[in-house]
Parts: sequence; C-alpha cells; structure tokens
Amino acid sequence: MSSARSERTVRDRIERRILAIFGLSTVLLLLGMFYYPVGTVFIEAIVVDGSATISVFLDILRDPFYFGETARLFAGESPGWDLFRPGRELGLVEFTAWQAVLSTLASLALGLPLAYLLARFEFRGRRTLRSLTILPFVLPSIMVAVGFVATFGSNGTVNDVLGLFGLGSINMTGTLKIIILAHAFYNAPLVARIVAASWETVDASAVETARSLGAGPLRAFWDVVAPQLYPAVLMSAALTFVFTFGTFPIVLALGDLSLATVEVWVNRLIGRFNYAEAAGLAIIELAISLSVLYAYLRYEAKQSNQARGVRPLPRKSLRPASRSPRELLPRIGLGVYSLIALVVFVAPIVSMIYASLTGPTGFTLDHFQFLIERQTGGADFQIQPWPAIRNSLVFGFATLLVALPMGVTVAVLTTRKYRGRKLVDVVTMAPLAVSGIIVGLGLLRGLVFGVEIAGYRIFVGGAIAIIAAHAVAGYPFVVRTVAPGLEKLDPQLLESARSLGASRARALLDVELPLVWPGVVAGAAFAFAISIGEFSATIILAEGANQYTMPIAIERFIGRRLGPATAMGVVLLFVTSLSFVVIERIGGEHSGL
Amino acid sequence: MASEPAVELTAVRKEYGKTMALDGISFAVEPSEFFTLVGPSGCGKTTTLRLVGGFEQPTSGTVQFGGRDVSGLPPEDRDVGVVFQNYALFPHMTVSENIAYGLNFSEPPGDVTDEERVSELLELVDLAGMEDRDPAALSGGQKQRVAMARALAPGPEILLLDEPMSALDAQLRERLRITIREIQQELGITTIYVTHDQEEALAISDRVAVVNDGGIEQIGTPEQIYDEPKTEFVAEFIGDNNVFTGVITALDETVTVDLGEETVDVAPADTLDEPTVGDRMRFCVRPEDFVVGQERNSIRAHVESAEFLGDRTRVHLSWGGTELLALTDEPLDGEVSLGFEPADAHIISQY
Repeated sequence: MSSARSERTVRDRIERRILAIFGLSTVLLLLGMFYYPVGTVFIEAIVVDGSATISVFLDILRDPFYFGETARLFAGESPGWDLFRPGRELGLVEFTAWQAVLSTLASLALGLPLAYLLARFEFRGRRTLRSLTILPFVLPSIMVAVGFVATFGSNGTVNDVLGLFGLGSINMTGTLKIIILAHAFYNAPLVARIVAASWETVDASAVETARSLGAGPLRAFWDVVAPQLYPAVLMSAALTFVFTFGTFPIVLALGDLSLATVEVWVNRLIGRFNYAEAAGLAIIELAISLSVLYAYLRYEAKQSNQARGVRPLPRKSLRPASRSPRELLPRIGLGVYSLIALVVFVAPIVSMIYASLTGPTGFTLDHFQFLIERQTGGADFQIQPWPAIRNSLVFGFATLLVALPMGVTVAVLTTRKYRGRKLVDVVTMAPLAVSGIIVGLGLLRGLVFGVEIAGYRIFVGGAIAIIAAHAVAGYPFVVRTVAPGLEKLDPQLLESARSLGASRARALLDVELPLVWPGVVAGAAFAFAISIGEFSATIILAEGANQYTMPIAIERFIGRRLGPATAMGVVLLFVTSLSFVVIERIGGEHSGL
Repeated sequence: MASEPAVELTAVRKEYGKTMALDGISFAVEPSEFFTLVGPSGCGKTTTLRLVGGFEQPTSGTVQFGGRDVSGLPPEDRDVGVVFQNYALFPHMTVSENIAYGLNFSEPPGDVTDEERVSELLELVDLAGMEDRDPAALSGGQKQRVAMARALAPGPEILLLDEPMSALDAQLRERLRITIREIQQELGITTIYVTHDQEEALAISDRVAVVNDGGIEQIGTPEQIYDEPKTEFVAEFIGDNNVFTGVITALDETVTVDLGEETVDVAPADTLDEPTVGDRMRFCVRPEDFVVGQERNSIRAHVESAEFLGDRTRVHLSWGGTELLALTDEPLDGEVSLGFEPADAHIISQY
C-alpha cells in the first residue's frame, strides 16, 4: 500500500515545492517592485554628486517655502511667537499638515454620526449601507474630484439648486473647502466603519450595570461606551490624517498651485527634473506619516486588551418609541445628518452623471460626442479616450494576475504561526503606508531609466513599471480580504487533507481556497479597482509614453473643460462598476463549490 | 524474528518555547493493536498523537513506524488516517467526495475502483445511501462515521483517533465505541486512540497508557490498569478509588498497616520491593470492594451523603478528615463499619 505513495513523479515534486516557489517569487517581486524603488528614492535624496549628505533634507527643512516660520526653528533661529501668529503664511509642508488636520476633523464630524446610525439602529438596508461604506475606497479619486467640481463648482448642481430658490451662488472651485469636503467623502466612511465595528463590541451588560448603579443614559454613554470607542476614533483619525497628508489627485484636480500639497509639489519637481529635491521631500513626507502611525501604534499597545462583550447593545428602531425628547432628538439629528450626507456622498456622483448629459441648452450628448470626435479626429499629441480605456483594462487585468497570487501567498504565510511572522507581516504590508508617488518615482529613476547589474544594463518598460506599481498598491487588499478567512478556518481541515496524502499546496487548492473563495473574489475586485483608479504612480510613469489611463485622461480634460471630463468620468465609473459585477459573477459560480 | 512494533516512540520530548509538553516519553504499539492514551486535558496525549501524525515534530527523540524512522516526514507521507475531535469534514464536499478525497493521492487497497472503495466504506460505517449529502446535513454521529470512513479509504497502516466522540452524547458514545472497536478488529488496523474518558479507555482498548503532566504513568491492559495501578495518579484517575496511607507494623502472609485509628491487613504486592516494618506505604481499595458490617479489616466512617444510581447506591463517607467512597446495595446512614478483603487492597507504593 505504501509503495503507491513512495513513487514520486516529477510533477509531484514540483507540487510539493510550489508554495516555496510562490513565496520566493513574492519576495523577489516585492524587492524589485517596492523595496528597490523606495531604496532608490532614499539614495537619490542622500547621495549628491557621489557622496552621502543630508544637505538635501536640511535645505528643505530650512526653507521657509516648505516650512514657513518653522523653518527658522530648524535653522537654529528662534521664531518666537511668530510661530503661533494667526494668519501667518504657512509653508508648503505646514499647509499640507494643516489641511490634513482640517480634513480629519471634517471626516470625524461626518463619520461619527454614521457610525452611530450603523451601530445603534436597525433599519431596512442597514447591511447594504454598511457595505456601501467600502465604496469610496475603490472610487478613483480623480473621478470623485470631477464629481465635486460638478457639484460645488460655479456651474455645479448646488448653484443650480440655490438659483432655483433665488439664493445667490457659491463657487468653491480652487478653495480649501472643496478639498476638505472631498477628503471627507473618502475618509468619513472609513471613520464610520472603524468606529461602528468597535461600538458593536461594547457589552450591553456594562451599560446596564452603569444604569443600575444610577447613571442616566447620557452619563452611562460617557462613562462606559465612550472610553471603549476612543481607540477606534483615534485610529480612524490617525489613518485619515496619514491619507490626507499624502493627498495628491484630489488637490491636483480641485485646487490651484496656491493650495499645493507635498505630493503635488513632488510631482511638479519631477516634472522639472529636480529629482533630488523631489526625493528628499517625499522622504520627509513618509517620515511624518510614519511617525503619526507609529505614535498611534504606541498608544494602541498601551491600551490593555479589554474584555470584549459577548452581548452587544441592542439596536433601536428608527421609529421613535414615544414623543419624548430623549427619543426624538437623536432621530431628528440623524435626519439632518442624512441630508448633509446626501449632499456630500451622493450628489457628487449624481452631479457628474448629470453634468455629462447636460449643456447650456439642456440635455445633450455633446460631451460624449466630443470624446468620439477626439478619438477619430484628434491629433496624435492629444489624449484619446479609447487608448485610455484599453490601457486601464490591460493594466487592471495584468495587476490582477500579479497581485492575486502574491496576495494569497502572503495571506497563507502570515496566517501560519511561526517565529518572525510579525516581521513578515510588517514587511509585506508596508506598501499600504508608502504613497504611490514614491514607488512611482523610484521605479522611474531605477528600473525605467535603467540599472546596471554585473555589466548589463537592465531596463523595464513603462507599462511593466506601471503594472508593478499597481500590483504593489493592490495586493495588500488581497491579503486583507483572504487572510481573515484563512485565520478562521479550522486547522484540522488542513491537517485532515495532509494526512490523506495531499501536499501543502494541494490542500490549499482543494480545501482552503474553496472555503475562503468569497474573500479571494473580493480581493480580486479590490486589486482591479485600485489599478483602474490609480493615479499617483501612473502619472509619473506614463509621462511621455503612450500609456495614459482613464484617470490620467480625466486629469488632462478637467483643466480645460468640465464636460468631457465628466463624460470620461462616467465611462470610468461604468468600467469600474462593470468589472465589479463581472468579478462578482465569476465568484458567484465558484462559491457554490 | 520478532516483528517490529507498528509505532514506536523513543524518549520523545516536545517543548513549545519554554513550556514542556512531553518530557521524554517512550512506548511501542504492536501491529493490529488498539492502543489508548488516556489522561486529563493538557497532559500531552493529543501532542503525542500529533507527533505520530506528523503535524508536529519532536524536539528530541524518535518516532518509528515498523522500525523505520519517520521523523521529518510530512503527514502526507506517513500512511496514517486521522479522525479529529470535531471531524473536520470538508464542508464544500459531499459525503462521498469527502471519503474519496484521499484516493486522489493513492490507489485504493484491493483491486477496486475509487467508486467501489467509497461504497465499501459507506457500507462499513453503515451510511449507504448518504453519498450526496452535505456534511452540514448530518448528525454528530454520522459526521463521526464519515470522518472514520474518510480516514480509512486510502487503506492507511495506522489509524489515529483524537477524542473522536467527545462532542457526542453519552448513549451515542457507548454505541459508537462498539462500532469503532468492531471496525478496528475487522480491518486489523493498528490504532492509537486519545481520550480523557477513562471508562471509554478501559472499554475499547487492548492496552492503555495513562498520561499525566507530559509523562506516562503506566502502560498495561485495561485489567492491569484498573486492578494494579502503579501510581497514586493512576489509582485515582482510573475509576473511583480510596487511597490510604499508613505505617507497616508487622509482616506475615499479609502486610499489617497502622492507619492511625485502625489497623488493617493488606496482601503484599509482588511487583514492589520487599516491605520492611516501619516503612510508610500507600494502598487503595475500590468502592465496590467495601463490605458493609464486615468485622475483618474494618474502619469506622460517617455517612455524609448517598446517591441512588438504580442498581447500586454511591455513598460518600468521611473517615477522620478523609473522604471515602463506597458502592453498596442499600442506602446507608449514620456511623458504619466498612471492611475489605486483604486481596482487594492494592499496594501502590512504599517509602
């Protein structure tokens, strides 16, 4: 009986090592597509004329253009009270931090009521609403920018509505307000998700104990519920700060140069071929972002692991139980909130579609007509729609092919228990914390311009570099959707398969993957959507080459005419939604296994 | 030439970081033997089974199958079938797909097709007609039998059962353990069984190893384990027992032991050292071996409570500060005198 098993074929031997092979490939890809490029940027900033120096950093830190009055601090002078003088001119980095703080506050203001609604009330469509909060993550930011212009710009829908009531007009294009609103569009749902999840683990019996000891409902909230929510609120605030500190397409499309943030300026410096300063600035940005994240993680580590409740707080109905103020006030508040939420979250998308179909004379297909004319009759140097769509799709599928196996491999490697797993976790998830512009710049200066290895000069085409950057940005999402499922699987399922003769890889294929298939599909959808919407790395790498994608096309259009930009935005929205549906369908068949 | 043991562990140690799970255990399982590891939770019995299955590697020591060192071999190369506590049926496969899974990697034993093999096994575990069911639609006992069939399908040399019945109710457990024993004897397959239930261990096994705190306390047939416990732990863990400690005062055909208030005679143990007057010693008496009102070897105890069990009554008594247990035919009350035959007392240790 055992002889049948001892006869190993070549195929068998490959199968047994397949996981190791995938692991090694993942490491090599990460090294080549992430760590090497990021390292290139570092070296770019540190090595000037062949010798190591920190002068690039010092120059940036001491330049009032970047750091305003704070620069004098770095230069060794004492700015004194000037530092806190209201209305003083902010340096570029200072301004970036300032708008990130405002965006964080706005996101909290818009996100916390949503968390309250999701965690404490039961109503029709609650689950759907909850799933929808993931959507902003995958909506291409440049498309959202177009939507905001179409909503809050001088010819936007908000002005149309105000005009109907004879209420004058606003123009938020090119203001800090519209940028902060757009940031809130992205990050408030994130705040809501994180805080609601934490709220749902608050133990009802803790609140009931406080109530029985004499605390009123409000007092019980402040004393029992709120302290359990602080870590989640702080975490979502830290993440929002980091995301908005590294903002790029939103500001590029919505603001003018007076509102430039760090990444916008890095991009401009690259355009001027000032790579050293671009790299230095990008590294300073990374350092600030990582310090905020690190400070948060230190705080989190200090929090003792609270016992999580087994019995969550019961959800209330949206219909008030009585006409008492205690019942009515929160619901009226939520009603007002939902109107504001409608304007911030729904209006931009609806306005974009509306704007793409209307002109000065009412309903029109002119903007789509324009895209077609540009395609058929445009000059070579002009951005054409079809190549943008084609490139986006090609990059999207190529990203999927790379990011999916990478993500699954990392998920498998990080759910097993072994020494050094934490390190693997950090090393493989680092791409989440590093902005696309650094990866893009690194790829450009390294592999795209050419690298000399053992006398051979190695080039990587722009298209390959774009796919690499997209895959690096997308695969952590595959890990995040696949790993929790794997973690929950009974390890004895795997052990049963192994004892029945299945190799590790075969057991993964036969048992684990079919059981976490919905997670794999969700990860694929994320990776694809991230690629379709990616802007920062693409705009750096696609420059000059014929590799622009839909987001790049929109950015080119938006500067000149809003109409074609909204039309292109609708096409992007359509392609993104369609790919989601297609991937869901494929997944649907398999999940029936 | 004597045949090699089917499974042999030699001085196996297993440490998890600084925690010692197994402290150098050794035992051998003969071909076709039903061998049970019994012990309280956390004693190391499941770790031992996982080492045999190849799911863990020993920190030191060797694991051999039929004289062949299998250390370092992954589970898929060990030719073992495993049934886990929670069955671990593949939820995305039907009953027959579950059973057939192992046949992807090896030919079925005998000259049969995969389909025929699956039918054979369904027949064996009495589940014919359940082929296309989802595991989720099965009862606990049915799941357990599917898990058994799946483990046996490729015709493994060794069957490992890790508390396969602990999730089932008492009546079903009793029926299933008969089924398991019958299947094991029909196939003549070497089986290692892990349980915390001493009654189950005694009922089902050829030999039993009592495991405690990472070491083996005693290995023997169920009768040996029950009648001649070698350590206080075995005496107390296997069945109910009353342990007495006293000083040897005289040596005769029997050993006379001073318990403080009373003096009793116990039969000498041939396995221990020659007893000496003045030594302290420990012996045990089973609850069912007490005879109420017997003059010889009697001790006086006070009845604390009694549980009516149907055919017998379980009586809790206090003797000095010590709790005693007796099984009697009728309920007792107040002060009673309990006697026992010297041969029914089993000496555990002398020191």
